[in-house]
Amino acid sequence: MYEDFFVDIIHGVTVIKMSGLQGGVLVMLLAVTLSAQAHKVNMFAFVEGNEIFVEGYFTDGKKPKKCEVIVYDSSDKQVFNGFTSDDGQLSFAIPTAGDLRITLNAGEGHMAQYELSGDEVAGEEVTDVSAGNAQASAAVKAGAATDRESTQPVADKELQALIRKSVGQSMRPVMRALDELKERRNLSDIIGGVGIIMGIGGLFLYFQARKMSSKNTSK
Amino acid sequence: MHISEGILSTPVWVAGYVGTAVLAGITMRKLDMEEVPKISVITSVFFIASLIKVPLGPASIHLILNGLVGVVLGWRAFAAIMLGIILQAIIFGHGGITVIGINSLMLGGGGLIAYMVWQQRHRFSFKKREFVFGALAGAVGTISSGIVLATALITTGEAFNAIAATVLAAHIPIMIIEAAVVGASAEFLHKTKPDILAGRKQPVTQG
Repeated sequence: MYEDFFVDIIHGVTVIKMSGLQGGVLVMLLAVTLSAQAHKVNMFAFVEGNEIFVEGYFTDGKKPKKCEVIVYDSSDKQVFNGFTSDDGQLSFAIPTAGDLRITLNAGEGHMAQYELSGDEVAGEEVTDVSAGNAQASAAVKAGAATDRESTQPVADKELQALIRKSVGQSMRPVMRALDELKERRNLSDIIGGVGIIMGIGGLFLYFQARKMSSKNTSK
Repeated sequence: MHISEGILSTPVWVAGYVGTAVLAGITMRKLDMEEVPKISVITSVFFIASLIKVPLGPASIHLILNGLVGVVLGWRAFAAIMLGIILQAIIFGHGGITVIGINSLMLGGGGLIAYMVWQQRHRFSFKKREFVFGALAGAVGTISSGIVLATALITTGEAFNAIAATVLAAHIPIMIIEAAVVGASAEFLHKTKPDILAGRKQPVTQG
Protein backbone atom coordinates (compact mmCIF):
# COMPACT_ATOMS: atom_id res chain seq x y z
CA MET A 1 0.00 0.00 0.00
CA TYR A 2 2.78 2.43 0.85
CA GLU A 3 5.22 3.55 -1.84
CA ASP A 4 8.36 3.47 0.22
CA PHE A 5 9.78 3.06 3.62
CA PHE A 6 9.73 6.75 4.59
CA VAL A 7 6.10 7.19 3.82
CA ASP A 8 5.57 4.16 5.96
CA ILE A 9 7.37 5.81 8.87
CA ILE A 10 5.35 9.02 8.48
CA HIS A 11 2.19 7.00 8.50
CA GLY A 12 3.44 5.18 11.54
CA VAL A 13 3.92 8.46 13.38
CA THR A 14 0.45 9.73 12.54
CA VAL A 15 -0.94 6.40 13.64
CA ILE A 16 0.79 6.69 16.99
CA LYS A 17 -0.61 10.21 17.43
CA MET A 18 -4.07 8.98 16.58
CA SER A 19 -3.84 6.09 18.97
CA GLY A 20 -2.81 8.49 21.74
CA LEU A 21 -6.00 10.41 21.16
CA GLN A 22 -8.07 7.26 20.92
CA GLY A 23 -6.40 5.96 24.05
CA GLY A 24 -7.47 9.13 25.84
CA VAL A 25 -11.04 8.60 24.78
CA LEU A 26 -10.87 4.99 25.93
CA VAL A 27 -9.49 5.96 29.33
CA MET A 28 -12.24 8.57 29.63
CA LEU A 29 -14.84 5.94 28.86
CA LEU A 30 -13.39 3.50 31.35
CA ALA A 31 -13.10 6.16 34.05
CA VAL A 32 -16.84 6.39 33.91
CA THR A 33 -18.52 3.97 36.26
CA LEU A 34 -19.52 0.67 34.80
CA SER A 35 -22.50 0.55 37.09
CA ALA A 36 -25.53 0.72 34.86
CA GLN A 37 -26.90 1.65 31.52
CA ALA A 38 -28.38 5.07 31.31
CA HIS A 39 -31.94 4.97 30.27
CA LYS A 40 -33.44 2.03 31.96
CA VAL A 41 -36.31 2.73 34.28
CA ASN A 42 -36.54 0.72 37.47
CA MET A 43 -39.17 0.61 40.13
CA PHE A 44 -39.98 -0.93 43.42
CA ALA A 45 -43.13 -1.09 45.49
CA PHE A 46 -44.08 -2.17 48.93
CA VAL A 47 -46.99 -2.10 51.33
CA GLU A 48 -47.03 0.75 53.80
CA GLY A 49 -49.94 0.50 56.20
CA ASN A 50 -53.04 0.41 54.07
CA GLU A 51 -51.29 1.89 51.11
CA ILE A 52 -48.93 0.74 48.44
CA PHE A 53 -45.92 2.90 47.89
CA VAL A 54 -44.36 2.93 44.44
CA GLU A 55 -41.17 4.63 43.43
CA GLY A 56 -39.57 4.65 40.02
CA TYR A 57 -36.18 5.94 39.00
CA PHE A 58 -33.99 5.96 35.95
CA THR A 59 -30.62 4.35 36.38
CA ASP A 60 -28.97 7.72 35.84
CA GLY A 61 -30.82 9.14 38.84
CA LYS A 62 -33.57 11.02 37.07
CA LYS A 63 -37.15 10.55 38.22
CA PRO A 64 -40.00 9.40 36.00
CA LYS A 65 -42.36 12.35 36.43
CA LYS A 66 -46.07 12.11 35.70
CA CYS A 67 -45.74 8.57 34.43
CA GLU A 68 -48.65 6.21 34.45
CA VAL A 69 -48.73 3.50 37.08
CA ILE A 70 -51.12 0.64 36.44
CA VAL A 71 -51.88 -2.15 38.89
CA TYR A 72 -53.17 -5.51 37.73
CA ASP A 73 -54.56 -8.26 39.91
CA SER A 74 -53.72 -11.95 39.58
CA SER A 75 -56.20 -12.37 36.71
CA ASP A 76 -54.54 -9.50 34.82
CA LYS A 77 -57.47 -7.20 35.35
CA GLN A 78 -56.60 -3.56 35.82
CA VAL A 79 -57.50 -2.56 39.37
CA PHE A 80 -55.84 0.82 39.71
CA ASN A 81 -54.15 3.49 37.67
CA GLY A 82 -52.54 6.75 38.64
CA PHE A 83 -49.60 9.01 37.88
CA THR A 84 -46.32 9.53 39.70
CA SER A 85 -45.38 12.81 41.34
CA ASP A 86 -42.38 14.88 40.31
CA ASP A 87 -40.28 12.68 42.60
CA GLY A 88 -41.34 9.60 40.70
CA GLN A 89 -43.39 8.40 43.67
CA LEU A 90 -46.97 7.38 44.18
CA SER A 91 -48.93 6.10 47.16
CA PHE A 92 -52.39 4.65 46.85
CA ALA A 93 -54.77 2.53 48.89
CA ILE A 94 -54.45 -1.22 48.33
CA PRO A 95 -56.98 -1.91 45.57
CA THR A 96 -57.50 -5.64 46.19
CA ALA A 97 -55.88 -8.39 48.20
CA GLY A 98 -53.82 -11.05 46.48
CA ASP A 99 -50.96 -10.96 43.99
CA LEU A 100 -50.52 -7.61 42.33
CA ARG A 101 -48.50 -6.71 39.29
CA ILE A 102 -47.53 -3.05 39.10
CA THR A 103 -46.25 -1.44 35.93
CA LEU A 104 -44.70 1.96 35.41
CA ASN A 105 -44.66 3.27 31.86
CA ALA A 106 -42.03 5.95 31.37
CA GLY A 107 -42.72 6.34 27.65
CA GLU A 108 -40.39 5.85 24.67
CA GLY A 109 -40.43 2.12 25.19
CA HIS A 110 -39.33 2.24 28.81
CA MET A 111 -41.39 0.27 31.22
CA ALA A 112 -40.73 -1.29 34.58
CA GLN A 113 -42.65 -3.98 36.38
CA TYR A 114 -42.82 -5.03 39.96
CA GLU A 115 -44.70 -7.88 41.52
CA LEU A 116 -46.10 -7.76 45.01
CA SER A 117 -46.84 -11.20 46.30
CA GLY A 118 -50.19 -12.01 47.87
CA ASP A 119 -48.91 -12.46 51.42
CA GLU A 120 -47.21 -9.06 51.36
CA VAL A 121 -50.50 -7.48 50.43
CA ALA A 122 -52.67 -9.75 52.57
CA GLY A 123 -50.62 -8.90 55.65
CA GLU A 124 -52.64 -5.73 55.84
CA GLU A 125 -56.32 -5.51 56.41
CA VAL A 126 -57.69 -3.89 53.36
CA THR A 127 -61.11 -3.15 54.78
CA ASP A 128 -59.63 -1.37 57.75
CA VAL A 129 -59.76 2.12 56.30
CA SER A 130 -61.92 3.53 59.03
CA ALA A 131 -62.37 7.25 59.55
CA GLY A 132 -60.00 7.25 62.49
CA ASN A 133 -57.38 5.48 60.48
CA ALA A 134 -57.63 7.89 57.62
CA GLN A 135 -57.23 10.66 60.14
CA ALA A 136 -54.19 8.90 61.54
CA SER A 137 -52.53 8.59 58.19
CA ALA A 138 -53.28 12.23 57.48
CA ALA A 139 -51.59 13.13 60.74
CA VAL A 140 -48.59 11.00 59.81
CA LYS A 141 -48.38 12.72 56.48
CA ALA A 142 -48.28 16.06 58.25
CA GLY A 143 -45.38 14.75 60.28
CA ALA A 144 -47.36 15.07 63.51
CA ALA A 145 -47.42 11.42 64.46
CA THR A 146 -45.67 11.92 67.79
CA ASP A 147 -47.87 14.80 68.85
CA ARG A 148 -50.88 12.71 68.21
CA GLU A 149 -49.65 9.89 70.35
CA SER A 150 -49.29 12.13 73.38
CA THR A 151 -52.64 13.85 73.04
CA GLN A 152 -54.91 10.92 72.35
CA PRO A 153 -54.92 7.25 73.24
CA VAL A 154 -54.54 5.21 70.11
CA ALA A 155 -56.47 2.03 69.52
CA ASP A 156 -54.39 -1.08 68.95
CA LYS A 157 -55.35 -1.39 65.35
CA GLU A 158 -54.59 2.19 64.62
CA LEU A 159 -51.29 1.91 66.42
CA GLN A 160 -50.38 -1.11 64.34
CA ALA A 161 -51.27 0.72 61.19
CA LEU A 162 -49.19 3.68 62.30
CA ILE A 163 -46.21 1.50 63.09
CA ARG A 164 -46.47 -0.25 59.76
CA LYS A 165 -46.65 3.04 58.00
CA SER A 166 -43.73 4.67 59.72
CA VAL A 167 -41.60 1.55 59.46
CA GLY A 168 -42.50 1.43 55.79
CA GLN A 169 -41.44 5.01 55.34
CA SER A 170 -38.09 4.49 56.98
CA MET A 171 -37.65 1.39 54.84
CA ARG A 172 -37.83 3.41 51.63
CA PRO A 173 -34.11 4.15 51.34
CA VAL A 174 -33.28 0.58 52.24
CA MET A 175 -35.65 -0.81 49.64
CA ARG A 176 -34.24 1.52 47.10
CA ALA A 177 -30.66 0.62 47.88
CA LEU A 178 -31.57 -3.07 47.65
CA ASP A 179 -33.25 -2.58 44.33
CA GLU A 180 -30.31 -0.64 42.97
CA LEU A 181 -27.96 -3.33 44.14
CA LYS A 182 -30.04 -5.94 42.38
CA GLU A 183 -29.95 -3.94 39.17
CA ARG A 184 -26.25 -3.21 39.28
CA ARG A 185 -24.12 -4.43 36.44
CA ASN A 186 -21.02 -6.03 37.79
CA LEU A 187 -17.77 -6.01 35.94
CA SER A 188 -17.76 -9.76 36.34
CA ASP A 189 -21.12 -9.98 34.53
CA ILE A 190 -19.74 -7.93 31.67
CA ILE A 191 -16.62 -10.04 31.42
CA GLY A 192 -18.79 -13.12 31.63
CA GLY A 193 -20.84 -11.88 28.70
CA VAL A 194 -17.75 -11.27 26.63
CA GLY A 195 -16.61 -14.75 27.54
CA ILE A 196 -19.87 -16.21 26.26
CA ILE A 197 -19.50 -14.35 22.96
CA MET A 198 -15.94 -15.60 22.51
CA GLY A 199 -17.07 -19.07 23.50
CA ILE A 200 -19.81 -19.10 20.86
CA GLY A 201 -17.27 -17.96 18.25
CA GLY A 202 -14.90 -20.67 19.39
CA LEU A 203 -17.53 -23.38 19.26
CA PHE A 204 -18.51 -22.33 15.78
CA LEU A 205 -14.91 -22.50 14.62
CA TYR A 206 -14.47 -25.87 16.29
CA PHE A 207 -17.37 -27.42 14.40
CA GLN A 208 -16.33 -25.76 11.14
CA ALA A 209 -12.81 -27.07 11.57
CA ARG A 210 -14.11 -30.57 12.17
CA LYS A 211 -16.26 -30.35 9.07
CA MET A 212 -13.28 -29.18 7.07
CA SER A 213 -10.91 -31.84 8.34
CA SER A 214 -13.44 -34.60 7.66
CA LYS A 215 -13.84 -33.23 4.12
CA ASN A 216 -10.08 -33.24 3.68
CA THR A 217 -9.69 -36.81 4.84
CA SER A 218 -12.51 -38.02 2.60
CA LYS A 219 -10.84 -36.49 -0.45
CA MET B 1 -32.21 2.16 23.53
CA HIS B 2 -34.17 -0.94 24.14
CA ILE B 3 -37.87 -1.54 24.20
CA SER B 4 -38.91 -2.97 27.55
CA GLU B 5 -40.97 -6.05 28.03
CA GLY B 6 -44.71 -5.72 28.47
CA ILE B 7 -45.25 -2.67 26.28
CA LEU B 8 -45.76 -4.14 22.85
CA SER B 9 -48.74 -6.22 21.91
CA THR B 10 -48.15 -9.88 21.09
CA PRO B 11 -48.45 -9.59 17.28
CA VAL B 12 -45.81 -6.85 17.26
CA TRP B 13 -43.15 -8.72 19.20
CA VAL B 14 -43.91 -11.94 17.33
CA ALA B 15 -43.45 -10.00 14.09
CA GLY B 16 -40.13 -8.79 15.55
CA TYR B 17 -38.99 -12.38 16.01
CA VAL B 18 -40.07 -13.33 12.49
CA GLY B 19 -38.30 -10.34 10.95
CA THR B 20 -35.18 -11.06 12.97
CA ALA B 21 -35.14 -14.72 11.96
CA VAL B 22 -35.46 -13.81 8.28
CA LEU B 23 -32.78 -11.14 8.37
CA ALA B 24 -30.41 -13.29 10.42
CA GLY B 25 -30.93 -16.16 7.99
CA ILE B 26 -30.20 -14.01 4.96
CA THR B 27 -27.22 -12.14 6.35
CA MET B 28 -25.49 -15.18 7.82
CA ARG B 29 -25.44 -17.27 4.65
CA LYS B 30 -22.09 -18.73 3.63
CA LEU B 31 -20.24 -17.58 6.67
CA ASP B 32 -16.50 -17.84 6.25
CA MET B 33 -14.49 -19.27 9.14
CA GLU B 34 -12.05 -16.40 8.97
CA GLU B 35 -14.79 -13.92 9.74
CA VAL B 36 -15.73 -15.54 13.02
CA PRO B 37 -13.05 -14.05 15.34
CA LYS B 38 -13.71 -10.58 13.98
CA ILE B 39 -17.44 -10.99 14.50
CA SER B 40 -16.85 -12.19 18.06
CA VAL B 41 -14.68 -9.20 18.93
CA ILE B 42 -17.09 -6.66 17.45
CA THR B 43 -20.03 -8.36 19.14
CA SER B 44 -18.22 -7.92 22.44
CA VAL B 45 -17.64 -4.24 21.70
CA PHE B 46 -21.32 -3.75 20.98
CA PHE B 47 -22.31 -5.76 24.05
CA ILE B 48 -20.16 -3.65 26.34
CA ALA B 49 -20.79 -0.27 24.72
CA SER B 50 -24.38 0.04 25.86
CA LEU B 51 -23.44 -0.87 29.43
CA ILE B 52 -21.05 2.03 29.85
CA LYS B 53 -22.73 5.29 30.60
CA VAL B 54 -21.12 8.56 29.76
CA PRO B 55 -22.22 11.63 31.72
CA LEU B 56 -23.44 14.43 29.51
CA GLY B 57 -24.59 17.54 31.28
CA PRO B 58 -27.35 16.72 33.73
CA ALA B 59 -28.16 13.37 32.16
CA SER B 60 -26.02 10.57 30.87
CA ILE B 61 -26.10 8.54 27.72
CA HIS B 62 -24.62 5.33 26.49
CA LEU B 63 -23.27 4.58 23.07
CA ILE B 64 -25.18 2.24 20.83
CA LEU B 65 -22.46 1.64 18.22
CA ASN B 66 -24.71 -0.30 15.86
CA GLY B 67 -23.35 1.94 13.10
CA LEU B 68 -19.79 0.91 13.95
CA VAL B 69 -20.78 -2.74 13.85
CA GLY B 70 -22.21 -2.15 10.38
CA VAL B 71 -19.07 -0.37 9.19
CA VAL B 72 -16.80 -3.16 10.38
CA LEU B 73 -18.90 -6.27 9.81
CA GLY B 74 -21.07 -5.36 6.83
CA TRP B 75 -24.00 -7.75 6.43
CA ARG B 76 -22.74 -9.82 9.34
CA ALA B 77 -23.60 -6.90 11.62
CA PHE B 78 -27.12 -8.15 12.09
CA ALA B 79 -26.20 -11.44 13.72
CA ALA B 80 -23.57 -9.76 15.87
CA ILE B 81 -26.05 -7.22 17.19
CA MET B 82 -28.65 -9.92 17.70
CA LEU B 83 -26.25 -11.98 19.81
CA GLY B 84 -25.30 -8.88 21.80
CA ILE B 85 -28.96 -8.15 22.48
CA ILE B 86 -29.72 -11.73 23.50
CA LEU B 87 -26.91 -11.62 26.05
CA GLN B 88 -27.88 -8.18 27.31
CA ALA B 89 -31.41 -9.43 27.82
CA ILE B 90 -30.36 -12.63 29.59
CA ILE B 91 -27.55 -11.27 31.74
CA PHE B 92 -28.70 -7.74 32.48
CA GLY B 93 -32.44 -7.78 31.91
CA HIS B 94 -31.85 -5.10 29.31
CA GLY B 95 -35.09 -5.07 27.35
CA GLY B 96 -36.47 -8.56 27.92
CA ILE B 97 -36.87 -12.00 26.45
CA THR B 98 -40.03 -11.41 24.42
CA VAL B 99 -38.62 -8.24 22.88
CA ILE B 100 -35.29 -9.73 21.74
CA GLY B 101 -36.77 -9.97 18.24
CA ILE B 102 -37.98 -6.41 17.92
CA ASN B 103 -34.86 -5.01 19.61
CA SER B 104 -32.62 -6.96 17.23
CA LEU B 105 -34.65 -5.71 14.32
CA MET B 106 -34.38 -2.16 15.60
CA LEU B 107 -30.63 -2.06 16.30
CA GLY B 108 -29.50 -4.71 13.82
CA GLY B 109 -31.56 -3.13 11.05
CA GLY B 110 -29.90 0.18 11.88
CA GLY B 111 -26.52 -1.55 11.57
CA LEU B 112 -27.40 -2.86 8.11
CA ILE B 113 -28.57 0.55 6.93
CA ALA B 114 -25.38 2.07 8.34
CA TYR B 115 -23.40 -0.39 6.24
CA MET B 116 -25.31 0.62 3.11
CA VAL B 117 -24.48 4.26 3.82
CA TRP B 118 -20.85 3.35 4.48
CA GLN B 119 -20.64 1.65 1.09
CA GLN B 120 -21.59 4.87 -0.69
CA ARG B 121 -18.08 6.19 0.07
CA HIS B 122 -16.78 4.40 -3.03
CA ARG B 123 -18.62 6.93 -5.16
CA PHE B 124 -16.49 9.74 -3.79
CA SER B 125 -12.84 10.46 -3.35
CA PHE B 126 -11.78 13.16 -0.98
CA LYS B 127 -9.35 13.30 1.87
CA LYS B 128 -11.47 12.63 4.93
CA ARG B 129 -13.75 10.21 3.13
CA GLU B 130 -13.60 7.48 5.77
CA PHE B 131 -14.32 9.91 8.57
CA VAL B 132 -17.24 11.54 6.80
CA PHE B 133 -18.88 8.30 5.76
CA GLY B 134 -18.15 6.65 9.08
CA ALA B 135 -19.85 9.56 10.81
CA LEU B 136 -22.79 9.40 8.41
CA ALA B 137 -23.09 5.67 9.04
CA GLY B 138 -23.05 6.25 12.79
CA ALA B 139 -25.75 8.90 12.57
CA VAL B 140 -27.93 6.91 10.19
CA GLY B 141 -27.56 3.78 12.32
CA THR B 142 -28.89 5.64 15.33
CA ILE B 143 -31.67 7.46 13.57
CA SER B 144 -33.01 4.47 11.66
CA SER B 145 -33.19 2.56 14.93
CA GLY B 146 -35.09 5.52 16.33
CA ILE B 147 -37.54 5.27 13.47
CA VAL B 148 -38.11 1.56 14.09
CA LEU B 149 -38.59 2.34 17.78
CA ALA B 150 -41.16 5.04 17.02
CA THR B 151 -42.96 2.74 14.60
CA ALA B 152 -43.12 -0.06 17.15
CA LEU B 153 -44.46 2.32 19.77
CA ILE B 154 -47.14 3.69 17.48
CA THR B 155 -48.60 0.20 17.29
CA THR B 156 -49.10 0.36 21.05
CA GLY B 157 -51.31 3.39 20.61
CA GLU B 158 -48.91 6.19 21.43
CA ALA B 159 -49.83 9.18 19.30
CA PHE B 160 -47.61 9.50 16.26
CA ASN B 161 -46.64 13.15 16.54
CA ALA B 162 -45.87 13.02 20.23
CA ILE B 163 -43.78 9.87 20.05
CA ALA B 164 -41.93 10.87 16.90
CA ALA B 165 -40.97 14.19 18.48
CA THR B 166 -39.79 12.76 21.79
CA VAL B 167 -37.89 9.90 20.21
CA LEU B 168 -36.22 12.25 17.77
CA ALA B 169 -35.33 14.75 20.49
CA ALA B 170 -33.89 12.01 22.66
CA HIS B 171 -31.77 10.66 19.83
CA ILE B 172 -30.25 13.83 18.48
CA PRO B 173 -27.46 14.09 21.10
CA ILE B 174 -26.83 10.34 20.82
CA MET B 175 -26.75 10.66 17.04
CA ILE B 176 -24.11 13.41 17.15
CA ILE B 177 -21.91 11.49 19.58
CA GLU B 178 -22.31 8.26 17.63
CA ALA B 179 -21.37 10.09 14.45
CA ALA B 180 -18.20 11.43 16.05
CA VAL B 181 -17.21 8.09 17.57
CA VAL B 182 -17.94 5.98 14.49
CA GLY B 183 -16.32 8.54 12.19
CA ALA B 184 -13.14 8.65 14.29
CA SER B 185 -13.07 4.88 14.60
CA ALA B 186 -13.55 4.37 10.87
CA GLU B 187 -10.76 6.78 10.04
CA PHE B 188 -8.48 5.25 12.65
CA LEU B 189 -9.12 1.73 11.40
CA HIS B 190 -8.67 2.86 7.83
CA LYS B 191 -5.20 4.19 8.70
CA THR B 192 -4.05 1.36 10.92
CA LYS B 193 -5.78 -1.76 9.71
CA PRO B 194 -7.84 -1.02 6.62
CA ASP B 195 -8.68 -4.65 5.87
CA ILE B 196 -10.76 -4.90 9.04
CA LEU B 197 -13.38 -2.55 7.59
CA ALA B 198 -16.33 -3.96 5.70
CA GLY B 199 -16.84 -3.53 1.96
CA ARG B 200 -13.40 -2.49 0.75
CA LYS B 201 -12.38 -1.44 -2.77
CA GLN B 202 -14.02 -4.29 -4.64
CA PRO B 203 -17.22 -5.01 -2.75
CA VAL B 204 -16.91 -8.76 -3.15
CA THR B 205 -19.78 -10.77 -1.82
CA GLN B 206 -18.28 -13.32 0.48
CA GLY B 207 -18.10 -16.91 -0.77
